[in-house]
Amino acid sequence: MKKLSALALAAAAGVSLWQWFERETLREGEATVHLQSEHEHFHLHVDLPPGMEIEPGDTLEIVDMPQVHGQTHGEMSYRSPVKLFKASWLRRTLIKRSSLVEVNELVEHP
Amino acid sequence: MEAMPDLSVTTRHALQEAVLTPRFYTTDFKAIDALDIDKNGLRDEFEWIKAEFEYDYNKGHFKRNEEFLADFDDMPVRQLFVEFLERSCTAEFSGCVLYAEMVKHLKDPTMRQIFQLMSRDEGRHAGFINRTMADLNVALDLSVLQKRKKYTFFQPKFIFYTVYLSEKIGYSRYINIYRHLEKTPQHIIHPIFKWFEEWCNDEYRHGEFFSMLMRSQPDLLDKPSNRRWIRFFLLAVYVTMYINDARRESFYKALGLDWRAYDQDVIRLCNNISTQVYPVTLPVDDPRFFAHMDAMVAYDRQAEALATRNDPLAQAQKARLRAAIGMRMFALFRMEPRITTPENKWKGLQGFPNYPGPDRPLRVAAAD
Repeated sequence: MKKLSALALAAAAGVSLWQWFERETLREGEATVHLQSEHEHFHLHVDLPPGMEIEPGDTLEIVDMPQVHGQTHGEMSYRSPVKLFKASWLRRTLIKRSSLVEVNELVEHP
Repeated sequence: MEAMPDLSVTTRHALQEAVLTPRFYTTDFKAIDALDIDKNGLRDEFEWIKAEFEYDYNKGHFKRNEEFLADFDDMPVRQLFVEFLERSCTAEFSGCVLYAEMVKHLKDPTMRQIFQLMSRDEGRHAGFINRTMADLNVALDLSVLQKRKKYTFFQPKFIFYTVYLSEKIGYSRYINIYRHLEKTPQHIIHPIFKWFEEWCNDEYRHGEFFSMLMRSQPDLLDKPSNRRWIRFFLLAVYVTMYINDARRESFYKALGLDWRAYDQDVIRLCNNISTQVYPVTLPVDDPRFFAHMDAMVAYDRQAEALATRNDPLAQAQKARLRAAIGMRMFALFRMEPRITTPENKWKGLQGFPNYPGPDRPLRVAAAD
């Protein structure tokens, strides 16, 4: 019985930790997006509103995207709502400590 | 030659969408901003390389000519070429975004300007590839940029080690292809390869900056733990490239290249170049080095052959093969590194501007 309780406790702790790790907080704001997709230049830069900062583990979603069919004519700058999903403290700390390394893209040159 | 007709309407190939999976990075910008680049007397070198970037050697290089108007419907390995463009565009785009993020967060005006100019170069390269894909009737699906973007976090020192290597191995890959096609022009399957020589000089120059940045922080190079990181990243980059290129053997064959000989040349060149800053590199001239690499490729091929099977036996075999690749990688990591000495240290690229010292004449900081 004791073993079973200990096992149940450990499982509950594991689930709680996982839930904590996965927890996200949503912050919304309006950003300025600079997009250029043409021969001369191809880039996308996002100026987030003051106080909204991307930290390890966060994800960002730009809500509006103009219909440009792959190509723009010069750089487009437009305002769009953005959603910033803030990672939990646990996830942020783990990522910061381990500094997840993804080396595949390093050699994806021609 | 800027006004190009839209070739996509003439191609026999159906409109295809390029799948870009750009990386978005974040790092400890405050820590980078806190780096004292003056402490080792390198400020003048940074100012010199900033002027090199401002000179913009390739300002007029990425202009297309009539060769790009040809019909590439029947080009060899067309699909593999498109995938190659996708990967390249992704890498250039990701570099552009990373450097632009640095500009936003750093305070030192020299560093800000350098990152700004490197971002310019990467965005320019990405645009050139972007247009080449449009010629092949491949549209970029820009909606991927809008979807939830996960930011990959790297510690600043990992950024320096890896981006330095990325730039230098990029140079080594481009220049080896360019030199090979110069000798065997019958293998030029697309004119974009003729642009590689000047293009890769941008990559080399970016690498010079990161080399300077690491030299300005001796801890990054001298501490034993950091030397292990250097060897780890060198190995990770070489192994990833070797296995990936083995999988794309037919693409290199279409260029008249033996992927294995090509990769070994690239690795040797990159390893030599990296002695300019790294106190240790990998023992690539030891015959056991490429024997381990070849063994990894053989395991990977066996694993690829099992890719479509999901039965327990296949899963177990795949796990065994992955473990075997891991063991080989560990064996490579344990090999005695090559110590950089004044004799084997990279002396610089012939004909490429090196830091001329503090008494250099002032240069016009703009391209003609």
